[in-house]
Amino acid sequence: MWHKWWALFRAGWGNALAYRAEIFIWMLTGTLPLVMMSVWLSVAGGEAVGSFQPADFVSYYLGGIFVRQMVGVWIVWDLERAIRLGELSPKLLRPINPIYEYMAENLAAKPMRLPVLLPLLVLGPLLYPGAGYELSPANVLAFLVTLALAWLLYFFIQYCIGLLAFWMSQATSLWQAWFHLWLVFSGYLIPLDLFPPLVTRLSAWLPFRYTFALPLEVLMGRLGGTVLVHQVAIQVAWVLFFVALYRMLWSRGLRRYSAVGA
Amino acid sequence: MRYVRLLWLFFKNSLLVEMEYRVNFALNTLLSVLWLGVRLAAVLAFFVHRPTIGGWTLPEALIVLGLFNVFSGIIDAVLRPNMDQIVEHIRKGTMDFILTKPVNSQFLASLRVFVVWNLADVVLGLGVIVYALGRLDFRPSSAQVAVFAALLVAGVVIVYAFWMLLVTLAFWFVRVSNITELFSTFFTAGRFPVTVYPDWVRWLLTFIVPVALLTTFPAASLLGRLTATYALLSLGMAAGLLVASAAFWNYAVRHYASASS
Repeated sequence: MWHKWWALFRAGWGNALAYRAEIFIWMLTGTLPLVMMSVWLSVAGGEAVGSFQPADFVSYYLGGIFVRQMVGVWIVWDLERAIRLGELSPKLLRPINPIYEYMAENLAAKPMRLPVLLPLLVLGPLLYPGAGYELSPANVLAFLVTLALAWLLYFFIQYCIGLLAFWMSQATSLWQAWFHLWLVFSGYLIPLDLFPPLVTRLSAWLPFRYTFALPLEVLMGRLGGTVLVHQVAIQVAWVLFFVALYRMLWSRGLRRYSAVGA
Repeated sequence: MRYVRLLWLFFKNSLLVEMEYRVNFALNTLLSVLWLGVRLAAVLAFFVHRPTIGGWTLPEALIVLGLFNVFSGIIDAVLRPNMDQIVEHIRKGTMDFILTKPVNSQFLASLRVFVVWNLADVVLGLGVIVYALGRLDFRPSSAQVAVFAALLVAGVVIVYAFWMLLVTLAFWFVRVSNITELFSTFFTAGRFPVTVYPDWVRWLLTFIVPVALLTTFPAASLLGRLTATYALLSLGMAAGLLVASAAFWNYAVRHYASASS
């Protein structure tokens, strides 16, 4: 199995290398967090807003850019096209489930982003006194675990929505609708703690938060002890739910795909 | 007059094409509503904690947000599809067909296709502005409305000319479609009154990437807060950028060597 993975991973890396300029520009366009940070700092006027000190906004939004780039998956358009145009057929002939190919391709492009992202995490605390992250070994481990699970969850949600292309022609629009909700309920635009309490509590039960805010809050050292364990449990439950959903959609979708005669 | 008729014809064509996909039409309208919801949430969150941002109250800030929605609708309905088309024409060498038509080539290349359903954002944005004025219980004077309308037109001209300047670079660098994405990077800051940003950002958003002229300036004029100097600045920028974009386009076309030669 490992040599198949390695081959897929190398192919993905080659792909990422070919598109490095584009990847760089896409990263530059994700500036909304910087805008939000700037407005919060102005609104705060040097005083705390809710549970956030001004420096926390810097840590939150700069760390947020890092988490977003590490968790991000952009396969729904490829997947939708592969299903609609029948490009999926040759992939099915290979001795490996196409989902691994998509996974490897996405993972292989991640290291490309690090040279831009890591300086962000270092610069924030250097330039803004009081900003920073909780870097004890246990906390870093918790961060990496929740970050990996967040990626897995985001990947499977997007893959499930992409698979809906077996039945409908608007799978990508559906993804966009999901993404709009994600922007609000994941904590990407606004820290979830700063919403009215009702929204904060609601977001704790929805899947969005577990693809973004959880690892970020862990990195900032805002979660610990039993709360952290409880949160990871919910995150794992959502991952299992979407993996199960994927297996169901995949087997039914394939039957439908071959029934259409591709 | 001929150009107005042509424009109407192009618009009708685009509409007819899209009417074939009614489900998409409904779905995209739904997406526009969701989008507005996200943008509203991002503004409301600040007002949960503070009564004003950058000196603007909630209804006042909503006017800025409404204008942001209007302009993002115009960009997605008119600018983005046409500018993508221009890059395609240059890449594939079909630009020759545009240049040989007996119509101004910039007009024909840049106002040809419309993604009509994105105009839903324009309607929703205007709705937000009307709602905000109702909340303020404020009836702008007819002079304020006139200045507002003039600045709105200036804003449309500015954003059009700015995109044209960027996309004309495609005559030399074919992979320029990414450059227009960089505009979006700055445009996204236009959703909030420009006074919430630090001085240097404010300056950048006024003079270099004139996003403030699209949203904050017209909103301020509607509220009777904009000084005449700034109103004139906006109109002057619009005229200057339009002339510059036309000149740059003509220069590019003259040096365009076509794909086959």
